[in-house]
Amino acid sequence: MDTATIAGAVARLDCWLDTMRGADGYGGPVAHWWQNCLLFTGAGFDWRYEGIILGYLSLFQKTGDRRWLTKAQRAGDDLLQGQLPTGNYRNSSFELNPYPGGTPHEAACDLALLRLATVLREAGEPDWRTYLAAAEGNLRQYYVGRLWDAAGCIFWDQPGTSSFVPNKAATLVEALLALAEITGDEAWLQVYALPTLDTVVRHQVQGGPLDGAICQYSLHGQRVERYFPYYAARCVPGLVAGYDAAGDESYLDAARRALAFILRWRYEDGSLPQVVYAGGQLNRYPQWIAAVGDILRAMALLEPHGVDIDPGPTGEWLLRGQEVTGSFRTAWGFGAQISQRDPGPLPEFRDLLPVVGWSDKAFRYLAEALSGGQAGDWPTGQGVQPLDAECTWQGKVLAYREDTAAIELRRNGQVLYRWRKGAPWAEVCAPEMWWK
Amino acid sequence: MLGWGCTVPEAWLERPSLEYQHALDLLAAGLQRGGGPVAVFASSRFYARDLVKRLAACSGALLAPGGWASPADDLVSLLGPEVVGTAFRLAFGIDDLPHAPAAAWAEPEAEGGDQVLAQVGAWLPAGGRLYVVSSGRLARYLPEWHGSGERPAVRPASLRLLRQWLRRSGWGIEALYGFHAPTSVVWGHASRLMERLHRPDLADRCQFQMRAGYIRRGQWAFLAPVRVMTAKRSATG
Repeated sequence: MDTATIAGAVARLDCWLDTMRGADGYGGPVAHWWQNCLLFTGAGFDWRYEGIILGYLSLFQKTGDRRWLTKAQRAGDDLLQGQLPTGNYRNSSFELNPYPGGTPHEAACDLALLRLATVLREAGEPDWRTYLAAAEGNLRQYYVGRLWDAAGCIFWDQPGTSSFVPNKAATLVEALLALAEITGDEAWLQVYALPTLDTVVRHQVQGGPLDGAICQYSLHGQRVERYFPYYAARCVPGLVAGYDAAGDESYLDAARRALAFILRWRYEDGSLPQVVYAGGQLNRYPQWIAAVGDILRAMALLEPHGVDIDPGPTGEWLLRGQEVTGSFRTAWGFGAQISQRDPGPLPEFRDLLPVVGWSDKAFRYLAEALSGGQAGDWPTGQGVQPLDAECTWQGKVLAYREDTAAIELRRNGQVLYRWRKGAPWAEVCAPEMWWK
Repeated sequence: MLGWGCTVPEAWLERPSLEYQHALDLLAAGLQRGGGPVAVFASSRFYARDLVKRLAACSGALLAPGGWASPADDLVSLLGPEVVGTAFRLAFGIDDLPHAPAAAWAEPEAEGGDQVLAQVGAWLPAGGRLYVVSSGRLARYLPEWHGSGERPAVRPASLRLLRQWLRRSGWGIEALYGFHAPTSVVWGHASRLMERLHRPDLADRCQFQMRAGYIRRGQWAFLAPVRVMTAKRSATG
């Protein structure tokens, strides 16, 4: 990927992100493997803010242009406004919204706020402490206060439930390490982050055809043997950060093996299956597009550690997914989620549906992949173009349209779905689209 | 405003079953579609909490039929911190409700439900729409109806009784939706069976098939654990 291509893609995506802002922050429908959230479309204070804030911070650091810092700070302010007195964030559950207490989402927001605080402190801005306080409040009150099991030295995924989710814990580790760094308090590292990373490593498969895979979660100590390449990639940044902080080679080894697992399952076109099971079966569809930004990030993070990777095919898979609107397609093959047969020539509605909490992964990766010194020749005139496309829903061909004002789906002229951008709920949602 | 370290009931962090999530989403989307203020008749904290969080962007009022709350109560203590900063308030009575084109009722109790409906009918303008949640017998298998947590209702009115009340009072029933109707229950069982047979790949696919058939309209909806009925107030009702 050349710099001009990346800069053009980022510029268009930035324009599109602006169209997804409402009064309270970044909103919009969500499509996900686990569940969809098509009716509630209000601002979600979840992991979408991780990619948005960190992406804008990267742009600021690479270009020196303060408009990117302003945008990062505006997003940080959304989180402050969305924070509850308990430290939680409203609507932090992404596909499960509108609910607070979402994991890894609240930790992802904390990580973004902490990085924002660091950059503002370095820039001599006095309000960096506000963002630090918000993130620390969440980590202390929610993660340590409600999810930390001191006896087992483990963060549970939900209050009162003994389940552990490695990829979510890895995001939390990143936030804890960022907090240790900015406060200088080693307890965040020693007491919470490293024991958590050790638990992540214990969830990794050792040897055999699935070597390096990390199981999705464990419940009451029992591993649930579903292995998602995407979620393995989400573990890599936390493991690398743990290695950087503590120098423990086992974390770096775990990260390398996680990536090796991912690459063993990569198709020629750079895409990946959704999930691989212990028995060797897999469910290929839907295959993420925007979210592979996180997989490319994992590759980029391990490259300096001597891991020889060709990100090319996956980078091309990602860039092919950018629409004229500037957004990235969510996936390919949602229509085959049940049958797991060839999805056919047309995308399903959820494939096309642009989701802020997926496109932010592409945004962050591409912003980080830019080379420095882009301020003078930043692409201009990258406005959002309307997209008209055919797609399917439950086997029927429908007309999809997105512009700056709305996302709409029609069948024979009849509106099945309409979300006016900025509104907290879909204006029209036919009963067949209440599919969670 | 609460300060850091406040203590509030744990329940506000819990998500209800998918059946109730669907039903409450439908209510919230319907109420917001009309624009303007909204009114909610909630028979329990369970419903009030989840509806207020969904309607946080609206100004509105909450009435507590059955008397589980009074206007003197502090909403944050009752429902949790998510009400902080919202324009929602507890109403003193039916006369204290804002003028609104639609209302949500979650959910009618077998005892006294007809009186609540009479109040709603007197308050809602002609042509106004009412969204009603109804828990069926199968809802007793949902986690909300077990343990020591807050239950959605004490003794929910049956759909049959609800229809009688609505029709007698001149309401036109528009639609009935059921969440987790029989076909989706079958797919849910199939998913668990596949899991036991060590085919998690098929279990996942059955799970998505279950979701795809989760919502049923009309007669099949009667058999669902949670239902939503929409009704329109007639000009003369």
